[in-house]
Amino acid sequence: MSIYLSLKEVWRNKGRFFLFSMVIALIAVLVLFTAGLGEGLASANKEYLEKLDATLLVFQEGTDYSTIESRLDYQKVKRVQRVDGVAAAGPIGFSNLEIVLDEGLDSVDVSFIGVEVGKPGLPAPIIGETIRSRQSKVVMIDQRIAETANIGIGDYITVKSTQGTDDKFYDLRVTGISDGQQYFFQPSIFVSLAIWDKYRPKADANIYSSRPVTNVIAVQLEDPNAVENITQLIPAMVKDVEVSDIKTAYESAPGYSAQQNTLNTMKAFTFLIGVLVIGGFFQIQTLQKVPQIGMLKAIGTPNPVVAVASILQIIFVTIFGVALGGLAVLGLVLGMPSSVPILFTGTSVLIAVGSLLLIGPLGGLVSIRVALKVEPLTALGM
Amino acid sequence: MKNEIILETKNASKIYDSNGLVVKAVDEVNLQVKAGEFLGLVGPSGSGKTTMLAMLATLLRETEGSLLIDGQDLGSMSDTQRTKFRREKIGFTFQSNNLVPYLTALENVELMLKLNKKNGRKSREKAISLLTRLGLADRMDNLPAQLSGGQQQRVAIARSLIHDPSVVLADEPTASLDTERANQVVQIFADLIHEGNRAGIMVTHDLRMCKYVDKVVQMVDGKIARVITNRDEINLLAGTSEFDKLPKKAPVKEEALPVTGLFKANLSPAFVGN
Repeated sequence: MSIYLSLKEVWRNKGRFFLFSMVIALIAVLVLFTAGLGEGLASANKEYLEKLDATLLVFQEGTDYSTIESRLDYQKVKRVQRVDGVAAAGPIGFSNLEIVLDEGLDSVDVSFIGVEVGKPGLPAPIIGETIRSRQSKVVMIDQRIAETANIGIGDYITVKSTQGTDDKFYDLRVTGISDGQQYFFQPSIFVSLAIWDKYRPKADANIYSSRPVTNVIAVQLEDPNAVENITQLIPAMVKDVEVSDIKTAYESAPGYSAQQNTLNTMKAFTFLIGVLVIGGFFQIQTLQKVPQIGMLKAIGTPNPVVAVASILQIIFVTIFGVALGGLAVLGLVLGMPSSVPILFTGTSVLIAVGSLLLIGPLGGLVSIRVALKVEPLTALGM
Repeated sequence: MKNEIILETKNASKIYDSNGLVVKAVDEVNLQVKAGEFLGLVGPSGSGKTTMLAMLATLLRETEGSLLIDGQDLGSMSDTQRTKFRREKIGFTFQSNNLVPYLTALENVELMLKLNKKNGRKSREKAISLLTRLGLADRMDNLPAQLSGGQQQRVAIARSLIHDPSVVLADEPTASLDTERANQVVQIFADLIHEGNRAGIMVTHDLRMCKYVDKVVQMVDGKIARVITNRDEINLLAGTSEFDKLPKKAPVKEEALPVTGLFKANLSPAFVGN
């Protein structure tokens, strides 16, 4: 009976309910976009670290897990490696440089990441081969760069690095292409640590330094359950270091938390607006229907039928609105340039859609309460 | 008309107590309506007619006394039982907002059957047949907004009778209709009540409509002032539409008895008119 009443009302008032579904659709677009943007920006910040084949990261002590600030002596890698329970330790160096493309094309800013061959830190290639030699001038590139700059296996790329006051240009042969590996909002290219140390941008003072440095050490554990134990053991065994898990590391990146908090606040407010708009609409509609609800109750319609009919109506309209919004977002994303950092993962979409479907009934709660409280006596004008 | 009593009130009273202000809206009313009997409940505004109707419709609980329909004491029922009882045993026609605006005429009539879990082809045929009888054969698929006031009331009448209720109640069913439509609607209503052997009660301000009822109960100040059963007296009353010619004060208790004998002799000159 409830389904019958709610479907009839929605169908016979298609125009009004369609317009309201459009409002819900717009809210859905806003929420999904914010969710996608949050995920996209987070991913652009952390993608490399999140996919890293390691459990822990070792930093210089006092750097608050900041990969940029941390500087580790190469000797520390060996000491970390010797700690009981550590399966493998791989030094990773981070810097930025440009890939120079053919004339007329803009150069591409990339994260330039140096890794120890055969150690944690180097992603597996999806096309081509991994880096096998410490001294070879070969590079593995992120698939985004391969697609954007149309670079394939065996091609040479030229990177521009500012060392001291000079711009230096180096050629590297592409040996493999990895999946998406963004870091600090840039796609990444990977070289051996020796090549990285030679080609990376440097200040004057470092140009002739013979001591290789690295930023962090990626650690694989023998026992994946021994995270806490090893996190405490490494600083105890190796001087002047601090250890974090991967999540703590990318959450400690400058601006990451501020950015995510801002986006989460935006999401929360959008939901709140959604709840209020839907609540307001159904509240007004219910108030307009008080005589009609009174009449229905007076002829013997049970209260639960009236309540369920109201809930179902809200659910129908919300589902339709969210579906419309979802389709609109899909269309927009397909037509959007890949440079826009929007990413939809299964979880983020599910959470956003689930929350959107909840805001309808949540917003409509007050109107359902009003509907339940309508006295059948109103049908008699009492 | 059978002699079986369908509806009966025994000293039924409704007392409102608001911040110490006690108002007796219905005061010890005794009423009987038999199967196939159509009763007109008249009286000035505030006389307790609608409160009485609300109590009979199980929408209000009596404060004192008892109300029985089909031998069942309404006061002993829980709210859920009262809702079920209302759905099954009572047919209702209101002054306005009678129909569900998003259901067609046919769907509005069928609604009552659906509420009573009577779906199917036979139910639909019954609804179509009743609407056809009420002259709405070509209006069944129209929404209420596409119907005239008279047509809407006829749909409401169909809805109030479709589920074969024991009691049919109507609250000012002609209030928004012109005289011609009003006569038409009440005539149909009366015919269907008589044919179906139901107990019918119509609250009305329009005394002219009393010509279709079998008994007129006049209420004043919450009490029954007069009961008129004589056809001539009823027709005489129906001949005047000037409602203010009814008495304004409740009679003393001894006078509040059913009127028998010559109607004119028992009425004040002001009530009868000249």
